[in-house]
Order: sequence, then C-alpha cells, then structure tokens
Amino acid sequence: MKYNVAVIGAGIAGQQAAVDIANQGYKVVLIEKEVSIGGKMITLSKVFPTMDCCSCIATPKMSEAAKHPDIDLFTFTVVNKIEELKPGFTIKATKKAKFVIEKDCIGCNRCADVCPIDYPDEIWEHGLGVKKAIQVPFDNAMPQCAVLDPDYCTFCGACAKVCPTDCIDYTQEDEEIVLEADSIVLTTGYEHTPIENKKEYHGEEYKNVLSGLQMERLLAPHGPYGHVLRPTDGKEPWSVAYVQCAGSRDESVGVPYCSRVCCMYAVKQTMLLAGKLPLADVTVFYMDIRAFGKGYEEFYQEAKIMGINFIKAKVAKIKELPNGNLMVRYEKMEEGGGVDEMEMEMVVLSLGMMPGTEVNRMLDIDVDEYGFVETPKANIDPTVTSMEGVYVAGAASNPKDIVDAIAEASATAMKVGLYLSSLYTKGHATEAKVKEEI
Amino acid sequence: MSTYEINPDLLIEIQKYGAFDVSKCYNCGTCTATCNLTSDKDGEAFPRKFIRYAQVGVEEKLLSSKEIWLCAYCSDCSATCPRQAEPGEFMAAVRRYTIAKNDVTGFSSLLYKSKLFASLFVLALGIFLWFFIPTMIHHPDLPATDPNVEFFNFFRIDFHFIHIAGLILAGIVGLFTAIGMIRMFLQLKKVTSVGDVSIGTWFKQLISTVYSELVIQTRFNDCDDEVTPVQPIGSWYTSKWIMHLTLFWGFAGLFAATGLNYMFKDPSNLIVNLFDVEVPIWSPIRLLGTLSGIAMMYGASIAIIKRLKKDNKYFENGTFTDWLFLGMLFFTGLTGFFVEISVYTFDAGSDWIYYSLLLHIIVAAELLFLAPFNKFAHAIYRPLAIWMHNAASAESN
Repeated sequence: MKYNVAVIGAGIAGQQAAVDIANQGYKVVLIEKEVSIGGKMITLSKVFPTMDCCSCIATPKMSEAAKHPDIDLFTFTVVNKIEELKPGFTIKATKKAKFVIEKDCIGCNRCADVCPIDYPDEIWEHGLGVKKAIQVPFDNAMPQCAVLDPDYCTFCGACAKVCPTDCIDYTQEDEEIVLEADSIVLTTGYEHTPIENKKEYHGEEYKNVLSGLQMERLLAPHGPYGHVLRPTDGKEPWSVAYVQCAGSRDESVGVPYCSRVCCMYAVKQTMLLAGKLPLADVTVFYMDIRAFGKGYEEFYQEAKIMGINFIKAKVAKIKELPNGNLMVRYEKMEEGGGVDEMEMEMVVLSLGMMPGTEVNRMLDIDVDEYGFVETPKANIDPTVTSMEGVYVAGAASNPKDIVDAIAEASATAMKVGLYLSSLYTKGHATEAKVKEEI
Repeated sequence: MSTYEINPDLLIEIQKYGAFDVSKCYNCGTCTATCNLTSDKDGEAFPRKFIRYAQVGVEEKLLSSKEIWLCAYCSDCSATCPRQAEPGEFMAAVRRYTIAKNDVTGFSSLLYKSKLFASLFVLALGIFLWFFIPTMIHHPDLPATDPNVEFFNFFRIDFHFIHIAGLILAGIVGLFTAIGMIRMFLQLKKVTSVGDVSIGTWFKQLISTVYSELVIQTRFNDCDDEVTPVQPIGSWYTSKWIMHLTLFWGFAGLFAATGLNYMFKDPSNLIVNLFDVEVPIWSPIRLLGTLSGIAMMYGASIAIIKRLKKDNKYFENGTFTDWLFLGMLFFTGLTGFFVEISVYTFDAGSDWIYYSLLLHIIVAAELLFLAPFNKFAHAIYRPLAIWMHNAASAESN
C-alpha cells in the first residue's frame, strides 16, 4: 500500500499532524501500537491551564483522524523495520490480532457483558481499574472495536454466542504488513519514567504512592473508582502530597533533563483535588515551579490562593506506616534547613518523561543519548530531523505539553506539505488527490 | 547577624582533597533528608548546609563545625544525589581539609594533594629505615647485651635505641597532635562558648563522648536504614560498624599490648623476653596482642575487600592517602604476625625473626609518624570536635 505520509503514533500530536496533512489532499497512514488511538491525552482528566475536559476536546480530534477519508488507520500495529528507498520509505509492521473482525464489530460491548474474566487494566487505567478479557478498550476508544486478550481469555466461547455480528474470530493471527510512504512523521510521544526508578519512594511497593497519570484517572469523571480514593482501603485521603521531580532532573536515575509538564499538571491536579476533596490538605514539594506558558504563572498563583501548600524541598524518602499512611522526609529549605517529616495519606509522584518507543532509533536519524529525536535546527525549524523526508512532532523530540505538541504537529503538517509538493515537481511522489486537482 | 570572612577560593581548595563536584549542587536538600544521622532537634543537619558554606566560602563554619565530624560517610547521600555531586565525598574532603588546616607544617596538605609526594615520602622513609636501623652503631655507654641478641650485634645495632627512637617518634607525633588539637580548640572558640566551659562539664562530656564515639561507635549502625535501604545492606559481620569497631579496638589493643610490654618488663630484658620461646603465647599481654591483632586484621581485610569490590558509594571513592593509611594498618598487623610466627617457629637468633621484626618496625614507625597528618588524625579530631561541641552546648543550656 502506498501513501504520501506515514504518521507513526496516534496520540494528540499524531492525530493533529495526520488530519492537517490529509486536509491538504495527501494520503496518510496513521499507525498506532495500542488498540485505540488517543495516546496519553485521552486518559487525562482535564488540561491546564484552561481546565477543559480532556475527553471533550480529545474525542472530536480522535474521531476526525479515524474517520477521515484520506487517513488509513492501523491500530494495534507495531513497526518493526523502516527501510529507506531514497526518496521514500518502506515500513514493515505487524498488525497484531485483536481476535475480532474489525470491520464487522459495531462496538456494542455485549461480549464484555458476558465475559467472566477480569484483570487489571495497565494501559488505560494504569493498573487501577479492571477490564474484561474481551471488550471495547474504553468508552470513547477509537476505533470502537472490541479486543480479545489471549493471555487472559479462557476461550469459553461466551462472547461468540452473544455477538450480534459474529465478528469474534478465535483463530485470527498476526498479520505482517508492508507500507510505502514518501515521508514519515514521528509522533511517537513519551512514556513516564519507571516508577521503580527512584527506589527511595517505593512507588512500586506502596499502593498509596501513585504516579501522576494514575492520579489523572482518579480525578477523571469516568475514572476507575468514580472518586478520589486510596487504593489500599478505599478511604478518602485527607492529606495528599505531590513529590515533584520524582523521575526527572535527577542524575541518580539517569534523567537529568526537566520534563516540563510535571509542575503544571501537579498544580492542575491539586486544584481539582481541592474541588473534589475540599477538606483535604494538599501539599506540593517542589524544587522550582516552572510555569512558563501562556497563563501558567497565573494558574500557579491561583492554586496558592486556593490554599494549596507549596513547600520548597525535594523529598528524600517515603516510609509506609502500618495504617497505610506515608511518612515523607525532606529538608526544610525555606526555614534555614533541618530535616522534617510529614504524615500523608496519599502521595503522588510527578514522574518524568522519556521517549516512548524504539521506533525513533529504527531510522538512521540522530537521536540524543536518551532516545529523543534530535532536531538540528531547533530554533528555526523545530520539526525537521537530520534525515530528509522525516519530520517529528510532540514529545518524540523532547518533553512537551499538549498545547506545544498540537502547535508543533500543525507546523509539521505544513513542512510535510511543502516537502511533498517539492517531490511532485521532481516527479518522485506517490499519487495523491492533490495531483488530480493540479 | 554575624559577619564572616569569605574565602573565595575555598571550594577550589577543598576540591583538591577529594573526588566531588559540589558546584553542580542545586541545593535540593536530598542529601540532608536522606541522611540517617541528621537530627532536627539539635539543628544538626548536613551535608547540604555545609556544601552551601563551601560554595559561598565561609571557611570558619566548616573548620569549626561539629557536623563535619558527625558524618560517618554512609554514602546514601552520594547514591541518591540528583546531581551526582558526591556530597558524602565532599564531607570527607572537608575532614581532610580540616586535618591539613590544623597541621602547622603544611606536610599534611602535601600528602593529600600529591600522590607522588605521598608515595615518594613513604618509600624514602621506608628505605631509609631499612638501611639505617641495621647499621646503627652500638652505644658504648649501654651495658652489654644478652647473648640471645647476638644477631643484633652482627648488624651492629643497639636494641635500646629502638625504644629511644620510638619515644622520640611518639614525642614528635604527640607534639603535632597537640598543636592540631589546640588549633581546633581556638577555631571552635570563635563560634562557640567552648572557652567558658567548667571542668565538671568537660569531664562529664568526655565520659559520654568517649563512650559513644570510641567505645561503642554505634553511629555507624545508624547509617543503615533497615526500613528504606537506599543501598544494599550486607551481613552484620561485614557491616561498617563491625569493620570500624574491630579496626579501632584491634589497634588500641595492640598499642596497649606494646606499651604494657615495654612498661612492665625490664627494658634491658625486653628483647630477651620477646625472643624467648619460654614466654608462653597465653601470657596475658601476649594474648591481648594476638587477639587484638586478629581483630585489626579482620577489620582491615573487610575494609580492603569492600574497597576493592566497591560495595557501595562509600567504597568507590577514597583517596590515595586513605589507601595508604589502610594499607599501613594492614601491613603493621601482617608483619606483627610474621614476628609472632617466626618467634614461635624458628630458633632464637634466626634471621627470620630479625627481618620480620625489622619490617614490622618500619611499617609501624611510618604509620605512627604519619598519624597526625593523614586519615589517622580523625581518631583524635572526631571525638575532640564532638566533645568540645557537646561541652559547649551542655554549658550554655
């Protein structure tokens, strides 16, 4: 299959880039490794600093990307190899089996109703919620197609019996696909730094120590508990601590750079917490608050006025008490030094960002020592990589918030459009709608 | 508001005493809050504050501080430092700097700063002693020696001179140590009320400091946080506490055994007794020496193995002089056992006994001579600083 552009990664940046390129008249293939597009953004509660509901602003974009006539969407597809054709690229990928015939599934989710298996949802609920061995990934997933997990499925056949369109196929196999594209856009995004990296915080071991993304799920209107509750005992936490720089700006875990979004999402979450749990004491332990975008500093000041307690300190260690509370130990930087401990009912670690996939390294482009895509002309051409025809947008090149990722994705779309039109004049490009119009 | 004299080159100077770079430090306080030895009640929080003092150049605060000596270099701070600025190594470097600053001769600072000087000096002193001791001329005023020590005559040495030389050496070492102690006292007097402490308080605090810092040394045990270990904790018998305790008590025991041997025996018969196999191995003083020697060798071996294995952050660093100190302790113990084994294995007058004794004396003499100038000096300065600070604060309460 031949396309003008292959967009790898269908998070918010990938969707925006794909839609903006397709709207220029080019054929786009959008490749996503997870079962639904949406990336990290669709799992968030609200966005800073406007406090818009994430689902409300992300779903229209997801829908547009998935339903666009000039975008072919491949979900649950892992890129294995990218070959250079000069000009153009061949992408070899594996479309993993969903055990459901995608074009027939109507997303009624009746299979999930009868499925007897429950297991933790590590991807969309970050381990807090449960899912069925077969179900539509989540309410506003795109495509609305059920996926069966063979690791948990007992092949009891209950779902096949109730499926109104007979689309469940237990014999489906992974499919190797080959895609050709004139140009590639890397929107591979990020993963948060492993919670077990900072051993002193015991994020993996203590259940009441959550990651920022887990807290997003608790705060989201369609989150796993429907309310902010402690994972150990289901109690409403009366005191919540935010530990900033819990995975970045820290050479002891190998991530010396700043992740740029943690300050703001922590501030946002504390404000949401103040709304959900008006009696809770919310404390943010920070080194510096980096509120640099439009309206960000005001947002931070607003949180202070709302009564959020900001303490300048880096938490050194967390100890669990028998009742599940957590003792947070830090140095009182603004009171002349000295060590203090504070008892908290819940702790949120503001984990850092690191490159999400190995795809960045599959091309012969420059990546930095952490795996982020290098942008040689970062100041004047931030979406251009070291290889002709390969562009980058969003957190694939360095940590970025949603606003910046979307802006960059649109900029990439423009650059790709210019690149493709230059190929046409040389007669090198794949046929596209644009050519017919010319 | 107090005023302090600023030394703008302080940090650069201290940096010559250890492998750290606290100019990277962004003052997050992780080191202080990680440290299990900091306690808030006395405001004894380190190392971050002291890194800050070094960054801005308040030398006085470093030289007169108690916290520098409270630090046992658990190295949890170095392991967790987000800037990998090695705060633990910084604290060690400040201790070395203080030792060098308290030494009037400047010899200590040369030893610390130049590996070449340190190794050449040790080598030169060793070679000198190796040739000097055997060629010493018999003193005519001294009485004739026992036939048992005939081989000493063969080398034309008067064994009494070893003791005179030892006493002179002890005098020199004692003098420099005393000068260092006085300098530390004067330094502390500037910032604490240590000058107005009554005799009673001095005495009371001496007892408690000697007990906690020398007798039991449990500070090392506090290093390992069992609940949230930052670095792997080994078995108790290889812990830093046992390592240091055996090393300390082993050395103290050997020192005592040597002293007692000298004091309670007729000096003119000492060598006779030493080489007399009739002195049983279980005679109290001999037994004390043997047991202490085993303890010291155990501690020194653990320390060397851990340093070679780089067990945790603490053992990764370590300057040349640290190795020198440790190596000399180890070889003093080893050659001591050579002597003991030779005495009980070979006939009196054997060359084996003589050469092992010669080796032992050379290593021990070097160890003692360097004591006020290298890491050994912490055995004096650490308890002294803690004692004086405790006395000053007990008096002001």
